[in-house]
Amino acid sequence: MRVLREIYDFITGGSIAAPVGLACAVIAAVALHAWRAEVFSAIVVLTFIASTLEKPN
Amino acid sequence: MTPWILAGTTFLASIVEFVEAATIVLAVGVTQGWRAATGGAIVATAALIVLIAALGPLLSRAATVERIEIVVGPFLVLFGIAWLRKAVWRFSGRKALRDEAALYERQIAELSSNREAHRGFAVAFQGVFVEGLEVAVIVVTFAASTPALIAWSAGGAIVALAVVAVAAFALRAPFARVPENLIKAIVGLMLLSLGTYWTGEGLGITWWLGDSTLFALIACYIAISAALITVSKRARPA
Repeated sequence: MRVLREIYDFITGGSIAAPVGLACAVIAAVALHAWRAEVFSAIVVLTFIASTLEKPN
Repeated sequence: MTPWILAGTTFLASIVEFVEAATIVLAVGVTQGWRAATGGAIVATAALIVLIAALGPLLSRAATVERIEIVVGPFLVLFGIAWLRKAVWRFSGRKALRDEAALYERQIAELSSNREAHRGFAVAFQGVFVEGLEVAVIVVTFAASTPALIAWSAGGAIVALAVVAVAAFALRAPFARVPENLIKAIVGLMLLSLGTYWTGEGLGITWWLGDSTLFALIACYIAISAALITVSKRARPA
């Protein structure tokens, strides 16, 4: 469990918003046919904002 | 196409890719240590040599790069967010600068910096690997019409690599004098922008401005980071 936590922290820097937001952006880009670039980049930008507003670890 | 024109074209096309890779390696070297940076670059180069030797003929298919982008892009986004948000926290005072840490916190920071060194290795590896793969595709694609000239095509890329390597070595010292948090912010910014661009491209998205979209993404993330620093500073009690 600790190893998994280390791997998670290594990849995400301890953020919860970042992987969740990125997954949403990828799913949206795959699912959409129009406005893909706009929706994908908007979700990634929002993900960055949400991740920065998280409590510093 | 004459051999010299072919070599010159490959030189110009690949120097851009090498500059991107060198910037990542330089930034990782200054912030996470030269061991992580050079280690990541060397392992990536070795992996590229093996890959090109084994799959050389397949590299002319652009789909290979897109597949690599969809694997590497999300990692760059996550690494970029991790670095950039930490820099924003430090600029806004939400997180202490490294040299202000107490003894206990310093030990924790040491463990964390070990993790960051590994992350630095991974970032240097990914940067060199993806850019190097793009150069390999450029070399093979440009010489596709005249396979006998592959050596000229590769020669252009090798000269570009030498020029960028010398320039990067010369810029190492002035680069190290830039404040650490600022470099981390720049690295985070680059990773996040490149990661967004590559992931999108890997997913088949056609970006509005083509390659120039990268600059639009960088400008967008700079503006958002600046706004987040201002908001965080105001929100902090005096």
